[in-house]
Amino acid sequence: MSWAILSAGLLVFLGSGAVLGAALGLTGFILLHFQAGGASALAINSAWNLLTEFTLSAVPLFIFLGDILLASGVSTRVYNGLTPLFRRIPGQLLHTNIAVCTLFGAVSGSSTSTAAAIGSVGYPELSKRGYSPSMIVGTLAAGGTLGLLIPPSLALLIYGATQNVSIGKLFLAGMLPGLLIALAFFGWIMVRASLGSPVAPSREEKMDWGAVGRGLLEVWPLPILIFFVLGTIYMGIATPTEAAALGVTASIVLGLTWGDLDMPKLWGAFKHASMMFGAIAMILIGTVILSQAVSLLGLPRAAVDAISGLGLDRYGVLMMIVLVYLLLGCFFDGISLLLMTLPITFPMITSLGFDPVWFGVIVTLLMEIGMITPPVGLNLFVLCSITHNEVSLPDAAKASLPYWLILLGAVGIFTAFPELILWLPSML
Amino acid sequence: MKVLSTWLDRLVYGVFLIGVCGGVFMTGLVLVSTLMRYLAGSPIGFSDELSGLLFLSLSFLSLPHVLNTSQHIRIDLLVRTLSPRLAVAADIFANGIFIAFAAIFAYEAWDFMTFSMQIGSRSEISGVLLWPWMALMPLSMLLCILIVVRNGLRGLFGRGASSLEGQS
Repeated sequence: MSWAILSAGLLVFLGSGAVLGAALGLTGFILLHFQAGGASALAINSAWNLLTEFTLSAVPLFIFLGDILLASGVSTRVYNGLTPLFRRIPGQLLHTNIAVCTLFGAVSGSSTSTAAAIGSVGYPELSKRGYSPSMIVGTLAAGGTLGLLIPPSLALLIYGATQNVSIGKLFLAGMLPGLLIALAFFGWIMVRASLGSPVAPSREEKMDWGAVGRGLLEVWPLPILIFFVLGTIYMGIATPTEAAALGVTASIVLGLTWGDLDMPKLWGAFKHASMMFGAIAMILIGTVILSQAVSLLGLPRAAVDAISGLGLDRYGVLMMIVLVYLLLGCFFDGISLLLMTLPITFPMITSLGFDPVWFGVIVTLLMEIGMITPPVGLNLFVLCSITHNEVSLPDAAKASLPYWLILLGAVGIFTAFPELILWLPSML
Repeated sequence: MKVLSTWLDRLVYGVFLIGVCGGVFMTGLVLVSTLMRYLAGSPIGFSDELSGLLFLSLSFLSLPHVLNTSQHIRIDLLVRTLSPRLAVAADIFANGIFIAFAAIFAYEAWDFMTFSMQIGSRSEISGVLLWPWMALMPLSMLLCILIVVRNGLRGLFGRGASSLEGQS
């Protein structure tokens, strides 16, 4: 009966276009009231505990950080700084998109912020120089997804805070997979630029090592910011929340001294980031209520038992979960999907003996895939609007397909070789 | 009606700005506490606790404004395929879901707050009285309900007016 209420509630409430958090929360309330002996008061206790949790308060701080960098125009400087580095490589400045997204992901924490920040600089510049518009959008959409995996990652932060998994370990675990995927993206751009229809202008400019040096000098403040955000966590100086506060302060100082930040822009960034966080908070509230109901009724255990009855081994179960994420990723945005599904999938996966840190990275990868999967791949939407619809959504989706496949391949590789994810955190 | 609606917008925005200030203060508090730990060797003992409460205020005080500006996440894939008449019905149903959720949440949160008030519960380290912070939960949900009701009425009257214009 609980499963019937859960499925019907989610299907009807979500299908009606209701606010996601309210739909999840109302389903949770119904389950708590009718199936758990009127325990709906527990939901408020859970919401209070979650939203007064110090660790989770790092989420709005990282959103502040990303928005302040965006308002500072730092992305333009970083983009221009790295441009000379890729002039002679097949695909040329298309690589800059991936490199800058990788670097920006190391300070921003959000996929959409990364895609928007780099896209608004990269698209006009590259299309003016004659690069294929859909290829530009494909690289930007794919590069943007790296913001979700390369620490500090909002997805890993929320995963760790809600499931009691070490955030420091999760951040370390995301680093190597993020860099390997970035390398795979570079590889594909080189292959695509060398074969088939031209996607980049002919290489006439000579490599200017002086310009490379000057460009790299231009981005000197970024390593400082990365140190404030990540170095302090890994050196044991600060917790993720403290590191986020240090990062916000460093980004304000950098924005005011090195970027174009002023007080109105700073206040605007705080307001915009608070709005973004408000939308996440609503989902957090709905999810924690649903999660309370689901765990109280023992639904994840029942799901594991039911799946065990199908005769699947643990990799069979994992495969089913991956398929469900891929399917849901077509309809839900990343953070919503993560929050909605973890109450069921996390206990299932850990009870099957999979490492919770490993699963954090895998589920983030699946979210990354969702970010570039039509019809709701958020990065595709953001970038299409940045191009003023010069690139249509289907074209953007088509251009993102190779990166989509690379990400899917990465899920397979990291499942076959989990040590690629777990090696770095095991040294902590 | 129009005056009430304007006041509601102002109230919601004002509450949102208080939440944003809470977020800025939270950032400063965490920063100062971290620096105090290393530079002065004495962290602010209650900073984690107060940061948590400011985090709660940012979360709940921003909800009504986010709702008022239609920034909340909803899955409207199915609704977009419906005919205009069915879409209106789905919209009313979706608003009903929100109101039901917010009303239950506000009711339970009110109980949670009044119980805390009765026993005079305070935070463990700093001894901050907790019920005023808890009161933000029902307050936020009530503001959300007012917005949904106002927007619903506005939509209905707007639709009524436009259909009358269409007939004339």
